[in-house]
Amino acid sequence: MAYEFPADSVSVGEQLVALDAEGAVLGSAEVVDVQPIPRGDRTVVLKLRVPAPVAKRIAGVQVQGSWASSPLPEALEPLTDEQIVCRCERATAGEIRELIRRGYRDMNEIKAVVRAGMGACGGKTCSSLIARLFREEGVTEAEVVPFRPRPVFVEVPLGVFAGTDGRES
Amino acid sequence: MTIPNYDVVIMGAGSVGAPAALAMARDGLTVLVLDARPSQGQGSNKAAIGGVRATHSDVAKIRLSLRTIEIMSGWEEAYGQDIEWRGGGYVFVAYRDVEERKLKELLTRQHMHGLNIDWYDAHALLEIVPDLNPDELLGGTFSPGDGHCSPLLAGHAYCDQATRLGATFRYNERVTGIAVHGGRVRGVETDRGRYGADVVVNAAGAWARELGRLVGLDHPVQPDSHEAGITEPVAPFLKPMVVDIRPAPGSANYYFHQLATGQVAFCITPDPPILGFDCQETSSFLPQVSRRMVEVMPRLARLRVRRTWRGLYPMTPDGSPLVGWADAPDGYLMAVGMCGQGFMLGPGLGELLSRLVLDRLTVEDREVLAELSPDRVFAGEEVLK
Repeated sequence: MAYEFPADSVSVGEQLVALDAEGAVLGSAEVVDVQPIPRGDRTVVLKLRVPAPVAKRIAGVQVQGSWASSPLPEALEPLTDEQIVCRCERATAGEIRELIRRGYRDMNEIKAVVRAGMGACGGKTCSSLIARLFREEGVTEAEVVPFRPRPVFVEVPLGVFAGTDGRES
Repeated sequence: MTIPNYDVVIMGAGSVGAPAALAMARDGLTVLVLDARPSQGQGSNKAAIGGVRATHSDVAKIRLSLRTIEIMSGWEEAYGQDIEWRGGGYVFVAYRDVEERKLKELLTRQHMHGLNIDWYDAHALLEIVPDLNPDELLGGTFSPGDGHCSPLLAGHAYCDQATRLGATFRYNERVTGIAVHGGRVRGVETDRGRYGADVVVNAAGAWARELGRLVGLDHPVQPDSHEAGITEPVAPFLKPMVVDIRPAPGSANYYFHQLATGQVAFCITPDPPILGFDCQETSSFLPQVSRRMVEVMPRLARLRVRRTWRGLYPMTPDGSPLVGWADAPDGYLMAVGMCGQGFMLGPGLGELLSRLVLDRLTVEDREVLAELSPDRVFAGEEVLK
């Protein structure tokens, strides 16, 4: 299993909850090895021991406790105007809030005007924060048009597609 | 029950509808723009990569684009909004005799129309675009008056100014009928209401044909799709749009430029065309276009691709738009079939449409309209699409 968290957050012998592609619980899995990817980013490879019928169905492991999906005891403080919502393009909560107050409901239109979601990550971070701004402004989810997701999801040099492996030919 | 009345209803808030609404509102007309999508320019306008040139071969496109360039280049001064206009020009490169001949033949006609474009030999062209692959480069044309602009910012800027002047934009609203009585257009019906109008403009781009059917007309507009992409932003290194018109297996020309914000945006023309409305991104586009771009500009190999998307070119049989009144019903105005050039034709065309509605046409306008007449006989395709 690819595991995109720090290697020291998991240890050999630990029992994790294995999940299928839909996120349904498959059962318990024992960590038997933790290997970093040579030259790679912070992704590590976990080797897990599970019953054979389960092995081919594992798509992930649960890393968060159930608390992570429960409502917080009290409402979050509203984002302040100067807080950065889109880190790639440095769009602030204030800029986006102003558009929402002017009647913007299409996240693709917000993107067109303040560039939120146009950066390297493709809106992975800002889309949930923009959703939060809509909630703060009392706009229901049903009124909001989400980002149109587009490939590619990781930036790749043109040379790789051109067959020159990212180097000048 | 009274229904809201307007002088003009425009169907489509895209690259033609938005600037047309602005021109009409400025000329004192009351305008309603209806669009089935959730916000401005969400059809094909946002898929444009932003190139704007007046160096066409036909007089209509030349005049409309020249006016567009005036509007875009003067926008920030006039309205205080930055729409990222950059006058970097266009470079058409020639690596083979056949393209050199084609471009030089075209130059004669372009000079006849007074366009600022010339042939540069390889050495001179490399001074304009130093990163071009010099191997077998014969030269190319350079037109410094052309440029590029952000379709996203420009579209919004037109709508903002049109709204300020009293135009109304309604989104998520689909036109389901056009009311005609006594041979005249009287208004439109949508899935949410009815509006009265003396003039109804079809500016629905790739979707123009289905709206034309509402008045029993069959506009010869057939969308085909082109795919585009954009890289990460880097420091400025490329001013003009670079166009390579050589054909290759699966594609005709391709072109790329560096945006004001540093990214390189690029697009390719599939050959044979991919007809229809499908805008799902493909896995074949990047290998196809990257190979060609890296060949012409090896330095691009290191640049990382960020995103790809597809947009629709509403094509006509001869590659030129269809603009003008319908014979019947009275008051039905076509501004359709922009053939992928709506962004560069739209602002100039919008002003012309307003003069047409107000019966204030100039001699030049009449020449443009004669060339773009929906009743014309379709001859050959334009030399340079």
